[in-house]
Amino acid sequence: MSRRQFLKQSSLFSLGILTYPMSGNALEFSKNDVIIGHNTHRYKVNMNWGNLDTLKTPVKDCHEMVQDSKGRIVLLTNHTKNNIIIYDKSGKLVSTWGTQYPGGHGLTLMKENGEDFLLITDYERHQVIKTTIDGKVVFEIDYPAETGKYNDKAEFKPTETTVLENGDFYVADGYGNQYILHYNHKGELLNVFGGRGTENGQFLNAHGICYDNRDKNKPSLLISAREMNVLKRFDLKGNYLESIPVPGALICRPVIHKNDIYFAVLKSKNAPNSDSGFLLIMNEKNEVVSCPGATLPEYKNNTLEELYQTVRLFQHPHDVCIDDDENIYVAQWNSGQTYPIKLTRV
Amino acid sequence: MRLLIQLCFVFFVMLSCKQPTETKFLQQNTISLAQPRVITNKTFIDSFVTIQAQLKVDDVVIRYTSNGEEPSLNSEKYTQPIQAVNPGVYKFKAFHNHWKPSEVTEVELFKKGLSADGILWHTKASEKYNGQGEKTLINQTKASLNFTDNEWVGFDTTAISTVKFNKKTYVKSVTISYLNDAASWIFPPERIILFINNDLKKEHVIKPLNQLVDRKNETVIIPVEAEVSSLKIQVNNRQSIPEWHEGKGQKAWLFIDEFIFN
Repeated sequence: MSRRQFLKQSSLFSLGILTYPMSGNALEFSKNDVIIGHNTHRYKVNMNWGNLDTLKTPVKDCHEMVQDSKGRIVLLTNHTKNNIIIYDKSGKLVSTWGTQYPGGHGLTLMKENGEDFLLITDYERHQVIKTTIDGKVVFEIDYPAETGKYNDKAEFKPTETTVLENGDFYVADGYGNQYILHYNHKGELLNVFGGRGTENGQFLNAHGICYDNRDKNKPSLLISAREMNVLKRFDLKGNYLESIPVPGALICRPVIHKNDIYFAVLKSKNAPNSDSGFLLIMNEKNEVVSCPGATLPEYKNNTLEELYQTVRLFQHPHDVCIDDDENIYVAQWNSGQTYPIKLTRV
Repeated sequence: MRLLIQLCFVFFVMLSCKQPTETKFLQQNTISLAQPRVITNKTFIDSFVTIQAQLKVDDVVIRYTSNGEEPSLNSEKYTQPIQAVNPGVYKFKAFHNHWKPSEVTEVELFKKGLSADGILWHTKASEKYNGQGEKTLINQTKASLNFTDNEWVGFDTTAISTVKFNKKTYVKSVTISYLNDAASWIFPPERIILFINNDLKKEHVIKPLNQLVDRKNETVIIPVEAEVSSLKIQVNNRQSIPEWHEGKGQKAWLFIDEFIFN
């Protein structure tokens, strides 16, 4: 089935939001449940998941989330009372740690010999920090002075990391000088590419990076250029391969789950309100198939129409985490210190 | 057996009639629609301006007014692009049976103003946001809400310019149009000072912003009421971003897209 047919046939599920179908039985209490998303990826919304005592376990911006090997949901906030909050899947608090990450932004899970580790980027400390899953620091990486591309450490404001199978990892300096830095598992710098600019191989706000090994023969890197509303693909050596435009969508990091790519979209480019974010999901062909909270993705002459928020549900979504049940957890920036939102797939 | 079936049936009915417990999922009637998108082909009316409104949601109804009132369920329904011939504020609002109505999107259409013959700049715009050059603010074209639109001219200093009319022209008022996008550190000006024909001075102070609002193209109208050959316009940017903003204490950006002479 072609993409167009697929979208046409599924237009009944169109336009971002639906009422839940009347079931006709006695349990109709759910008929007004919000359902967001399109086509194969539609969700109900749970605003209560993970809400905690704001005095005991506060959050500031909820920046990123990952699921660890035990199935727990790990949240990174820049609140220094508890930078890391670990939940079970039901949203119950398991534990917290971390008081030293005022600019805690990027959170990536890495596994070594069956053990979980975290890579945290901190744009205020101008560092990348590797920790154990319970918070012991393994190493810290400072600004890459040896590249000659930085005058001082303040120019290095890393936003994201991604890890290869061999332990090599890449750092996106999305709030800094826009370089992508390639390190080996020991944290030794191997390569640098990118930089600020509008050329193919450059970025404006290289906010997120993700290792894409869906095609085992051609593993690559997906890097979001958020201000440009574009997802860019590079090979592992840093050669530019292609751009995937997402008009209107300020995409945060790409998150690959099975064959799909999920994004939090911080905001809609041309909306009057800043809190105009939504989510975006691409299929294995990198075609946008669902935009929870926004317009139905439509292609005309192979070009994606501008996407924008249709309901005031999300504020500034900043990251998504997809669990092993296909549910999505949404961490939000600048949302009034709210906890993550859970979306249950329907 | 029949009794058992009947009992089962009664039990089932009882279960069915039981009031549902509160659902854990978000309900539709608690969430608002987003504002409709409103696009105009221009904002100065010579013959007419086409206004298009859109919100891509099934079964949504957009209603609008052109008299400044907030659209209600009784207001005109938007069905096709509007050809507006009168200046004024056009307001649009989206309604739906299940979702809460949207906030209002408004656009202001202006009567085409007097054409100035030239503009001399005494201060420099930011290199990055210098619009389409020196005449951007008298080219009778307004900008979108996006500050990277090259109809905007951005300053991190006071903006001072002198507008020239070759022939003395009666100017009733001047409208200064600026961007309020505090989330992007772009604030309304602090004050505007006019020097009419290098002589008469008029000053207008703008109330400081006390909270973050949706980004908006705003205007201030200052009466001139004089025969004018030159008009020096000094627009002071906000010198210090207020306490409540993340950029507190720092200089604010000032973005202007047009001077309109009526």
